[in-house]
Amino acid sequence: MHHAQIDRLSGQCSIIHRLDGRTKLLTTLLLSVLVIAQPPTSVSSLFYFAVWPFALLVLGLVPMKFVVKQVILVSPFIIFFAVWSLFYGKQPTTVTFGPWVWQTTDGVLRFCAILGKFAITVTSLIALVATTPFNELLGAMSKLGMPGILVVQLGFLYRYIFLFVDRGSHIIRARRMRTLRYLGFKKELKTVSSMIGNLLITSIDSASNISLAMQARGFNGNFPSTSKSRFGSIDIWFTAVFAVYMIIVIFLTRASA
Amino acid sequence: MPNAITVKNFSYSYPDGTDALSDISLAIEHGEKVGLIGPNGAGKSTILLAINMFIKGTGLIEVDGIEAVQKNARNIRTVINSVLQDPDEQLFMPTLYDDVAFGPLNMGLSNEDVDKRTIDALSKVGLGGMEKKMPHHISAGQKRAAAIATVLSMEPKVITMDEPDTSLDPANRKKLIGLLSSLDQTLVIATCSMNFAADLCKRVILVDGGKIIADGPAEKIMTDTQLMESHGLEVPMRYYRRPADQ
Repeated sequence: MHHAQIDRLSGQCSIIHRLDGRTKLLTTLLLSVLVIAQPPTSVSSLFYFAVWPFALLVLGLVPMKFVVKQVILVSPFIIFFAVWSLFYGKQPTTVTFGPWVWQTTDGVLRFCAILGKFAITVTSLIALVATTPFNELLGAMSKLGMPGILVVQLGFLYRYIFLFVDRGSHIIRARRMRTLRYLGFKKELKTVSSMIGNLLITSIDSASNISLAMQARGFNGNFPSTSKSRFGSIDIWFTAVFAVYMIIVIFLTRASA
Repeated sequence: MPNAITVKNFSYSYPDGTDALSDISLAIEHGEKVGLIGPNGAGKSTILLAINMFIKGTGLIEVDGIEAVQKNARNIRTVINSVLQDPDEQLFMPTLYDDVAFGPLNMGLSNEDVDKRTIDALSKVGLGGMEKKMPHHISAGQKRAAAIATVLSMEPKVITMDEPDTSLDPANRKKLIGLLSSLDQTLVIATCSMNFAADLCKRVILVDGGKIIADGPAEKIMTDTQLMESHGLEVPMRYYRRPADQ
């Protein structure tokens, strides 16, 4: 399960794992904003930005095969949207790469830029979650001023999505065991609706029991934190390197524009 | 010294008007380990919900001499706590440490005290060194133990448990009985497992149809074959005598 593998990777010990969650979260957000803010047909500049998440993955001992698999897994959604730019951008454009020169359209460049931006931002996010235990990430969000209710929701989502998927797969299995023939669209739709309803009802039931468990332990609406993370010298060095890198990248992208 | 739990003439009906509990009265002393036994739908879990102040009915409930009414809710929470049937519903935080520390932090304890109580509770249930583990990465037996640790860290005088041996294999069930036997707290355990109740409790309360049918020493009640079978229960193995022995 990806969930389990990300948990295992985030529990490793590397220089990136030792960084405070806030440092990694802020630099990832900043990198993502800068990548998204690149001009819509700028493809070459994205290569400079790609160096950072790649370096994090290497230093954070995250296997590239795992990252590539995850990026491919979520890519159909973005490809579906990006492909439309091929039909709308018909303006001829000349592209040069070293000694090579070829003709294309701005739609193709937009398509490549969207995919490039997607790949870099998703890779950065994977680097973040694969080098930061989720509880530390939640602690970092909380310390950076994210509303408590959102942090709690994220925590619950992470904790219970696993169970939810498990329950869903049990219901599907139960149905398959008793499905011997196709019953027609209407009946099949009715069955699927009942299954979804069942899942919803058991989830509501679980939610009310979780609420009881929280009340029993004195929950009063505020989530107390036990996070012991501190912003240390390693974080200062990391931030400084990131800042220098960003300045260089911005300089290079402007020079090449 | 007040009783750990006193219930006098307590009744509760579901919102649709169905009677769940009718005129229940019982008293449990400090340090007792009491089994609430009965068939499915007898009202065992509802009694636990009532004494934990999760439902409101008519009649009187006192926990350690404190009346279970809304104005005393905070005090009651420090005296009594409950372990739910499904540990996945009890363990809702990202790590075991966070989960076990949740209660003490809500009690307003200092970070040092929270840390000490959390480490102690996890060690007591045999999960020392697993503080950073995530609840979805541990076995069913460990989840059960962790769920108990979440309650132990609050150091309540009374602990209620709903079907604590559900989905445990014999080895983990034995471990759980050992752990619960070692606790000093008053335990009230609702269970359909007669063997579990017989192995752990010296006193049982037989509940059926929302009423208390029998209350007394486990051996006396659980060896009454006619009584047990008439309420859909069975004589546990430890009290079972072959016809030739009788």
